[in-house]
Amino acid sequence: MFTLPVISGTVYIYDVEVIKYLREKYNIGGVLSGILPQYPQQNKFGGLPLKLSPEEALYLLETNEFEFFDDTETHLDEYKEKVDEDKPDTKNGQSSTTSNNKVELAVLSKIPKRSSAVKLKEPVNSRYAVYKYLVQKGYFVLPGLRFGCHYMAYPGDIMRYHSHYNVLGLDYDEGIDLLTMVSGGRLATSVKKCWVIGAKNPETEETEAFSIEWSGFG
Amino acid sequence: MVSDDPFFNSTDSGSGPGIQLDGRFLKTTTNKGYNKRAKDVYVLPLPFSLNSLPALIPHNPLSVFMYTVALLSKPLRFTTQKRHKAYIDSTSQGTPGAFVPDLQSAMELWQQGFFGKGTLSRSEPSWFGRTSRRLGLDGGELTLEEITEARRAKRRKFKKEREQQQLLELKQKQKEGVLNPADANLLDKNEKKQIEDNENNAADSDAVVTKVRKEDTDLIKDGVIEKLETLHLHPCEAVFLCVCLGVLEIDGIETIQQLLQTFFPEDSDWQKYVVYHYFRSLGWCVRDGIKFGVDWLIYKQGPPFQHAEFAVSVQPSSGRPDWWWLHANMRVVNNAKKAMTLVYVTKEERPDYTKISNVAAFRKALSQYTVKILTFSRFTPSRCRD
Amino acid sequence: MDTVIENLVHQQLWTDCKIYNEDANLIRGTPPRKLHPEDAQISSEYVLVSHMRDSVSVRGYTKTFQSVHDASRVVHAVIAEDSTIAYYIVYKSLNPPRRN
Repeated sequence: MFTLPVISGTVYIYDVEVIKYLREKYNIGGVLSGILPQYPQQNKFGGLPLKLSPEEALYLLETNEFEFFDDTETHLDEYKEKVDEDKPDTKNGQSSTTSNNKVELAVLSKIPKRSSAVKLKEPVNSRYAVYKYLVQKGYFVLPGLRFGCHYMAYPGDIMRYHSHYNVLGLDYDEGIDLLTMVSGGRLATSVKKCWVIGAKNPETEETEAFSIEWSGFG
Repeated sequence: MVSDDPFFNSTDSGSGPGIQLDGRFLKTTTNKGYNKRAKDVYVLPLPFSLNSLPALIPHNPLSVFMYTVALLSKPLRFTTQKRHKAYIDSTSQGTPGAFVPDLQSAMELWQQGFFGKGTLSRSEPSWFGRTSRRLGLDGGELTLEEITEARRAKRRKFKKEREQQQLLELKQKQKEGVLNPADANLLDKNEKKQIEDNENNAADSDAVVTKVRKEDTDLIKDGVIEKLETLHLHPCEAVFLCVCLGVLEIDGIETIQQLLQTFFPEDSDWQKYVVYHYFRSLGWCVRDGIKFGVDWLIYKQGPPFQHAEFAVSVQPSSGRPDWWWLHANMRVVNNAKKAMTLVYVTKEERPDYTKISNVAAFRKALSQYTVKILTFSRFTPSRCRD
Repeated sequence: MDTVIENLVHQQLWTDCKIYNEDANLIRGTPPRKLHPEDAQISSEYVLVSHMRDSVSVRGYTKTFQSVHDASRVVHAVIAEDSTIAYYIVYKSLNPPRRN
């Protein structure tokens, strides 16, 4: 039973073993949202912690394989400690060094304070149905804001493939402007992907999806 | 755009530059020739001719003489403007806007301000010339569609050759015994496909297009094809030409009020018109932007000269565009090397059309609206360090 | 819908274009070349016609596919206000994008 720390409704994972496990067993990638201390100016790859989106967290919650706990207090304590350390030491006439700015990541998850009611951020209902559908089909799903869609779906590990689909998760009856479809389809085709719209049929409880690409003529 | 097109430099057969299209070799002009022609053809920025008198320098007797001659030689101070005729599609699912059936009018409206779009072409109404050429009836100059088609045909050929090249490499690997399972699969699939192709006698897809169809022969009467194409004017273009320039007459529309009610039934239509009018009045050439998911594309001189600089999306002043939409659109627009622009119209409701009975009232109604412009571009910290 | 038939026949060079189902806004015709590079041969395709002002929903697409029982894809023709027609291919399920 793995434990996942939750801070303000979002799951942040510092344990590399857990991250590996999630990736291999559940195709959950998450987003590395930290900064690498050795390369502070670059932003192609992030460092720990791994941040999970509301959909990913909900999906893991439903597997009943993980225990969520509230880690907010530990973070606040650590932060307070650092603020105190950085205050100039007036007795010696020297200010303290800034060497403590490097965050000791392993330390933070040492003392979990268990809380019974952990509140997780909720994903948008209609979107979650499509998310679940994709993950269960074996796709790796990542947030798609960069491409103006809800998700990007990869046929396998993201390191090995470029994404196949730009996905928009919707309500079954929700209408999309055809202008949106035109630009979505155009964008997707220009980066060699398919634009997908999916929704859960409220009557049959099945998720249906359609993939759209530019025809190449016209 | 034209200078690095391989077709303008290819000399596969025949002398001089040209392109291969459907097995024929067609001569084209050089890049310089194309641009030079454009400047000669697209002289007037609007389909409106002005009577210009020479400069008058009072103390120079020659100038006074020239001026008086010019003034007296024209019977009327202002020439009467040519009025083009159009009709609207009154079927139940009709396309909004007006249609100009006369080819001469259509070409004038296109060449003098780039108004409208040929119903069977990508922009300039060139269907007649293209189809005559395709059916072997007449010569004439090469159109944009044919250049694009030739480019696509070349790309298809390149893809086929690339595929065959890869197959050869895979076969080589197979011989050497270093084939991995994924590649072996690919090889099998391709071999099966080739067998199928041979069985079905799938002809070269490009050659298929040269076949003359029954639909084509139906068009030919006395050695000339029927003139099927008309020029379609966007509702905003039609209103601009009709009300502001006074060079368009629409069959069935008598008053400005009727015009506005037919073409701008919604508030959003009127807002779109306000933006169109604004940019046109500043001298920009404004064209529809559906190909890029926006409302309008703004050109400095016109499509044949340079690509559009700005892609304009009209937003109601109270609305806030969805972040998702903005990202998607910005991506599309930036890929096409344009700047994404949002334009807000400060008053949302359209005016009361019943109160607009003449051009003065129209102008007054229009002046109630102001336009605010916001340009976006994508900032990537790792790339935009300067 | 006639606008699209005219465009398909005279600009895109399709053949045998007819209205297939008027209520569902469907046309059937044959394109001049294969729609997808991995097709075995040129085949007749269904074309769904919409105007730019319309909107599309998942339910809408499901209904369309129900009207074309055997097809796994449909060409969606969108008529813009300036009479440009944009053509997109809609596949019934997740279909990998074509290699460019």
